[in-house]
Amino acid sequence: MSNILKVTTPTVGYDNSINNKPSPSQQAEDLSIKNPVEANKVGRADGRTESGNNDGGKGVAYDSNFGSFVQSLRDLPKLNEIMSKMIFGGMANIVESGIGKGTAADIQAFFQMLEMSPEKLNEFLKAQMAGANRLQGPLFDVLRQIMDEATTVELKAGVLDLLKKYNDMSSGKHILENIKGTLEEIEARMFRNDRDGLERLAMRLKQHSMDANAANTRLLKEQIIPYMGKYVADNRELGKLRDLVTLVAFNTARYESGNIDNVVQAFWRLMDFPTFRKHFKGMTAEGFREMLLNVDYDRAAGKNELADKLLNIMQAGVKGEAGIENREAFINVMRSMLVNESVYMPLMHVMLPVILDGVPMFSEMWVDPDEESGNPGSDERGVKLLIKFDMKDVGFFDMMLYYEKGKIDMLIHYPEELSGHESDIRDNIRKIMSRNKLELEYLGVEQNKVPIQVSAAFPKIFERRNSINVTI
Amino acid sequence: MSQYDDVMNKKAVALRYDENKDVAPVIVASGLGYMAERIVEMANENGVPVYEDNSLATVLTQLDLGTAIPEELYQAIVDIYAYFLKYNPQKIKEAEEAEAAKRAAEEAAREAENAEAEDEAAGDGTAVGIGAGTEGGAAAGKAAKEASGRTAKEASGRTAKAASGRTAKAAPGRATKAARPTVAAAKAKPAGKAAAAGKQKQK
Repeated sequence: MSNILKVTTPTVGYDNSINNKPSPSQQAEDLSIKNPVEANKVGRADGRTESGNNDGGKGVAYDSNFGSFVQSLRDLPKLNEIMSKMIFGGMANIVESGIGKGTAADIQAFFQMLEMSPEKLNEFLKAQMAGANRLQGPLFDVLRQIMDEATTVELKAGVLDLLKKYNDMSSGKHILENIKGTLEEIEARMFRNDRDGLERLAMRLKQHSMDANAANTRLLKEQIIPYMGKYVADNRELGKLRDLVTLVAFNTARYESGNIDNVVQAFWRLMDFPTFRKHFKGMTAEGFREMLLNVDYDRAAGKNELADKLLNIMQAGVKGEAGIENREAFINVMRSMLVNESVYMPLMHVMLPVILDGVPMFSEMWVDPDEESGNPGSDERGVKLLIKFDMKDVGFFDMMLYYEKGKIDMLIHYPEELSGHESDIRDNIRKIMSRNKLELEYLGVEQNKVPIQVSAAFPKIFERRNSINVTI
Repeated sequence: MSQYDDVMNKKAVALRYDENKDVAPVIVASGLGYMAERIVEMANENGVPVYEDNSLATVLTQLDLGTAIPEELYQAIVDIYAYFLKYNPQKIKEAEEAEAAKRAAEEAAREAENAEAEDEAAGDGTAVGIGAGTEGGAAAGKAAKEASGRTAKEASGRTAKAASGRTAKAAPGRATKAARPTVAAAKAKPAGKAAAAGKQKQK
């Protein structure tokens, strides 16, 4: 196993990472006249450009969505800072600012739930991991295996199509909520008479269920979308409203794709492939449908009381119910969480707010369960984790792990306060690993000087720059 | 990464937004978890433009991320969290108190054992001494011996010994386990108190 933990990844993602511009001192010495290369564009003598920042950083490409993602990624530690502050202080600042009774009760209940022992933390960690990705469990393990075994593009595309439909089906409630939200936004931009008409139609949308899917889709496709289309045509509304109508149409297509019949059909089509069939011997379309009907999709997606409480508090905070002064903090938390769910982030992200044996702690984890070994010519894969945690009155830690077949490489950055305990930390980490039957191949214990950046720990994030083409 | 994966990753997402009026939309992967979906709903409600990408390339990434993580890795991470707890000043204080309580409990147990031995010696002596005189004296000696033995055993021996034994077993074992110094501390505290109470009772 290579030592991938000594992170020395150059700052990738920045287009001007090779800095060959002369320094100001060199510039001062170099008095030769510089002619502009391009007659239409006059460059500055010191080589700086409008897009370059002046804080010593490199020029970031802000002109793409990936560029703005990269910029957001640089601000990620904020989530840790804000959440730690909230949890360490028991959200006292929020409660003091005259929060509503319901939210105050939510905060109280939330903090009671956060109190846990290490045994309970183990369960909580697993639950959070399960909630970070829907495609976990025996069915998806088999599908992963089929993807590895598949030799034809058709089979792979078929499996992905099934998964896409499954995703749309399991997110049906969420998609319908999004459609309703967009419809409300559209209503707010319409003239009164037409608005009333759309409101009446929208009210006919049933609450999401497997059975209601078909009726809702029909209503959206046959009445709501044409109604809005007519409004756009009649009023020549070619701006934001038309964009919102397009968004409703896009979400309607997803909602329709998530119909249980479509999922069963996609599964049944795959039974034509012998590689697929051998894994599902004896499975009928009806049996598969029954299986799908018996799943609680909210629970399977990681719904739990603690997550609900945290989300309720956040929702109140974002709306400003926890005081205007705290609103920005909540919005920052929301934005940071969105960045972690970005399509450019091929990692699982988990938050762990806990009060462990009476000590408040906030931890964040980024996990790549399918990381390449890093050895040239090796096909081995392992699990790579970046763990950041802040423990009240102890300090902030960074931890990187790479696990492969029972062997582990590890790097720990400890806070300055523990600088006299390095050998104790080493000994105890070794003991912990051997107790858990893990072979520690490499252990680096260093004082935390600069936090490890997520992008530095997982350079594959930047591979996406070349593979995802986003046009805006 | 296979060639197929590479092809799958090349996808195009077309979005439209007015850069003068709007902030750039966040493109999130669809079909993540419950929390992610609620956050997206929250963002939509608050005017943050979010586009959920459900292309096959994203689904492929999600499938890879669903790979199971070994159980022992979870436990090791939790053990590491718990180990660093011991550097919390509150925990250091608790650990010191637990250590002091443990020492007190051991001391109490030792004293109780000594007292028991002394009582036994004293009880035998009385019985022999009185028994040598009268029958009533012999009975009284026997009763005294039983009583003193019971007191020593019940009052100090049982309480202090059991308590200190529990502490001795729990505290160092758990302390080295690093995961539960507080549990040890919590247990050692009442144990110490019990030992002290036993000592008092014995006196």
